[in-house]
Amino acid sequence: MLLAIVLMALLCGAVYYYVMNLTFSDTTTQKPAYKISAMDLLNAFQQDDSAANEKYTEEILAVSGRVSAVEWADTSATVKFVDSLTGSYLIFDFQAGASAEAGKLQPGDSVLLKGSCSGSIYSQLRKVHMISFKRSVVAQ
Amino acid sequence: MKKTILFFSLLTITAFSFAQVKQTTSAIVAFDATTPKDALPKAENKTVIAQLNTKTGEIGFEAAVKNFSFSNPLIQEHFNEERWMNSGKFPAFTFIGKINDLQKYNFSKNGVYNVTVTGEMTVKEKSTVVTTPATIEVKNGTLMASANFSITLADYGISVGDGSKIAPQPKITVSAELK
Repeated sequence: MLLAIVLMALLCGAVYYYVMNLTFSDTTTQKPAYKISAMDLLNAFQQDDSAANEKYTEEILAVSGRVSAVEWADTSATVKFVDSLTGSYLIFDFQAGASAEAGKLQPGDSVLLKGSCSGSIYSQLRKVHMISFKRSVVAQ
Repeated sequence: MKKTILFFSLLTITAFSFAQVKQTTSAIVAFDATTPKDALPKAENKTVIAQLNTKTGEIGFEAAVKNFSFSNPLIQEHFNEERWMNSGKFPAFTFIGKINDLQKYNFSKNGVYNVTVTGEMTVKEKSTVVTTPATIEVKNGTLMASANFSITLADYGISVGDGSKIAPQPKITVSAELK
């Protein structure tokens, strides 16, 4: 009986340790749920953001397009694809180690980015849709 | 001649107006709610929208809740759940405020300015007034802004139990390069 309790406690401890030390997989190795162009993705959110949020949020997406802008804060770069008609945009934040490569991109570059989609918010400050990504990598 | 004068006048006005509002879509906001018992509840969002009107002192920040990135997938999931940030219903954190005593500062000149900002922080549609010191470094038209302050989660209806695993007053760090 005592042995069973001790074993149970050890098992629970091991599970707790495992769960608390989980980390996200490297996005480079993750298969995207969808491959889509930046403009198609922007259109999907602008036309029906509830449906697009339902479909794409927390999925790994591979997004292709021409870079509109690269922005910096501290030592981190973000990359944007902007709909020039509406101002709505996709913005990618990069996983550790991937920001340097992203920072080398220039506006006009054709690129494939892969990241975890966080869905959209409608910005009250900018009056546009902003679709953000985290843990991204430059796939091509 | 008149058309030339009109053109340059409009150009000057546009340039003046445009330079008045400095902005970025890549401000960084980090929060740290770690405790001695739990080092996991901390996250960063590097896609925060930030704006500063250098003539009126109005300042605004807007962050997508779901783009706060944690190292642990389970904590990431919990953070967005209904009993915590409920990001499905409340997708953004915002701060709308103003630099106090704006007339003391001249952001058109290079330099480091220690300012105080007061505004409304809104989380889950609950707003509280926050006042914090901030530093704005001006370098050739670019403003690098930074601030550190704490918030009280209970002010936004967020309960952390006994506070042993999640700090009831997490530290918030903000940095933005506004152009």
